[in-house]
Amino acid sequence: MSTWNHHLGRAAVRLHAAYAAARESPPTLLLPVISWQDAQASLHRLSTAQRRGWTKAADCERDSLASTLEHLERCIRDLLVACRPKRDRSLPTLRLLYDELAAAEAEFGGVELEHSTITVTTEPITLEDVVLGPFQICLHLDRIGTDSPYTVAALEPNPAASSEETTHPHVSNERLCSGEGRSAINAALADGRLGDFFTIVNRILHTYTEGSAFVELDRWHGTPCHDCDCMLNEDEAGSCYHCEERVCGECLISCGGCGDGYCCGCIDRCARCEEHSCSGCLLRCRSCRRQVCAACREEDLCETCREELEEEHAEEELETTTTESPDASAKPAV
Amino acid sequence: MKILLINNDGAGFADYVDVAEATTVATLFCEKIPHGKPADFLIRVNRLPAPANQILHEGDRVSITATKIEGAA
Repeated sequence: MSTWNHHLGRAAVRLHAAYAAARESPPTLLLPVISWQDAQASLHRLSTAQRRGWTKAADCERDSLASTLEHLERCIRDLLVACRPKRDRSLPTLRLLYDELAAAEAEFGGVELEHSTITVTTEPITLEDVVLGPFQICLHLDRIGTDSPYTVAALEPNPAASSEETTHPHVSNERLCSGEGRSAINAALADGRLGDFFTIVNRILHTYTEGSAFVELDRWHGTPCHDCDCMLNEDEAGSCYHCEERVCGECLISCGGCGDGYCCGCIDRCARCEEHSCSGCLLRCRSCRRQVCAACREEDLCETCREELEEEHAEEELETTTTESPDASAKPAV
Repeated sequence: MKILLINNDGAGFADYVDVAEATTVATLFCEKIPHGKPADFLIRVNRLPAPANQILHEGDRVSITATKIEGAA
């Protein structure tokens, strides 16, 4: 770091100018209205699922709501920080910016300076056997002082099968959801500690947080069928009408009554004909209490009970006829 | 003596702290991150990787960054 590097020197001068410009224009404060609307929509879906007794769908929605609320919490915390009076941060010096860029160059093997961006490239990243390739962390000089001054782009993208924009479990549309690293990134950028900023982003890219990803790594290459675990072919796959889980064409079972598709956990069988039928199309027989489909019942009796009842009636009628017949033939004496 | 300590774990604060003379990188780490394992952190002194037994000097810049930082969605 002792020899002056003109390339880094130019980058430091541009950075210094960008920091100076950012200090003159205070950031715009925006309420997290969209996140709040997302939370409301998620809560509505959760209530619907609970009301209809869709337990699995309700579990999914509860997770989704928790994730949205966490995001909202982060937005509000950042907004609070932005509202409060700031300690007087001095403008990063040219020397500091130069040293930080030199540290980033040593850490990443190079720093690229373009018109309004400073970029480093990570080593190829593999998480849980999913090859994601190298990423470019790009700091936009004209966005310094805003809430999203950097982007993260995959150089050899291997996006999730279900989302072209998701190139990393925590990167979507070139936006990193920095999670636990958010405060440290903001502090590093505010102080002009570019080396720390690039390192923190790189460490987030090397970490997979199960349960908090845009797409989980076990679903990276596709969504597994809920019933048989095979990877879904989107043309043939369907959703269970009850729990809304995705199932493959072979596992999706049609109800013989209404024709809707169900996973194996949400469909039943008629106790008489044993055809698949959903709970909405099955009715309990008044007599034997078995659940039977529409084809196997008449009004509130199953066919078996009805046949037995008819036989009983027929026998009763026969008995009545046979007991009445001798009396009928016997002519009263006049 | 004073050194600049940058703790990128959590809020990412950077501040000057007092340390005893002849404090090593390992001692400072144990004091500041008592429940952490050094192997789980990148520790830099004056922006360069440093061995555990390196003695710190007045004005040194020490940064501590976790190797695993959890992102979100």
